[in-house]
Amino acid sequence: MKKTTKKELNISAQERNKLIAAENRDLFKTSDIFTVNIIGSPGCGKTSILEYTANHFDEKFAVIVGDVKTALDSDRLIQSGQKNAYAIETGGGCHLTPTMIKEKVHEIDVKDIDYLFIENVGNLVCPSSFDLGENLKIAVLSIPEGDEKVRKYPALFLRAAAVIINKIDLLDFMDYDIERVKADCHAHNSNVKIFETSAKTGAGFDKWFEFLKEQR
Amino acid sequence: MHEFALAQDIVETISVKVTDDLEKVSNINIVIGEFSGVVAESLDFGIKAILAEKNNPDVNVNIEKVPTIARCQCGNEYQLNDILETCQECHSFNRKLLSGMDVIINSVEILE
Repeated sequence: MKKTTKKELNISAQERNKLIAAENRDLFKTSDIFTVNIIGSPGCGKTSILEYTANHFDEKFAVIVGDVKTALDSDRLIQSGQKNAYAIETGGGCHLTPTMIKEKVHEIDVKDIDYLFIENVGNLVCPSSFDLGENLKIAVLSIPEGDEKVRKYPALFLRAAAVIINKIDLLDFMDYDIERVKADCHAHNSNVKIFETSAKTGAGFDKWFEFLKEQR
Repeated sequence: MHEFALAQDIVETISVKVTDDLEKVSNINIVIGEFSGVVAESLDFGIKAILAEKNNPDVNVNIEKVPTIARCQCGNEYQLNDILETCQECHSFNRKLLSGMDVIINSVEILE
């Protein structure tokens, strides 16, 4: 049997990512930018929330949008008045990485913004495992998705500081037990903040904007 | 399928912290938290596939799963088997998770 030597490491498997995320965090801190990593299913309304935010949030911000393919969402944001919108095409990757953010941030005039919103690839699983250097991870749910998402995708809801339940205007038309969803969110993170919004009607955004300003 | 990205990070970390001669790596010992959201079989597959490309098709990947330990607001520490479980003492969800969320490279063995 061949002789081996053992080296004890006891370090995170994400050591490399954590170092790059820490560099991003340092840049955001020295530039006085509050960064929010927005995670939700495809179609839950992440871009619509940012479109509404672009037109009603009275702070300067930029948006980085991750998708497997196309710049459709950043184009939508630019058309809705948010000129500081940048696309990352992952080319197949199911999540954004801190390296992708580090490279993209160079295109942004960081001195000109107070907030950076990162819209992650639509996915409730993989994005939750990657620290991008953000201040907060936010989960977005929507009424038509059904009310069992929190129980089905625990890793995200263990890490999310806040949950937005979007498309609240559809609540009367769907069998969606919102009180159970809120209880499930609290079971995963007893300190979680929950916001009920509609990007169509604007409902609930005042509290969301207030929260963002308090956190900064 | 973020396990393959994680496997790439693990191999990269080993090449920086242990040896850049990846053909010599014989055993990689990893600890996965039950609530980490990582599938052990996929991580094992990813690491072996990457090392096979580096002329090391024989590496052993040993993955140990560790339970999630929570500390409740009342001070009770307990093993959390299901997120919807409350504290057995005070029936609260108000707790901090002490372990079970991470993936750790515990140790690496290399051929002399």
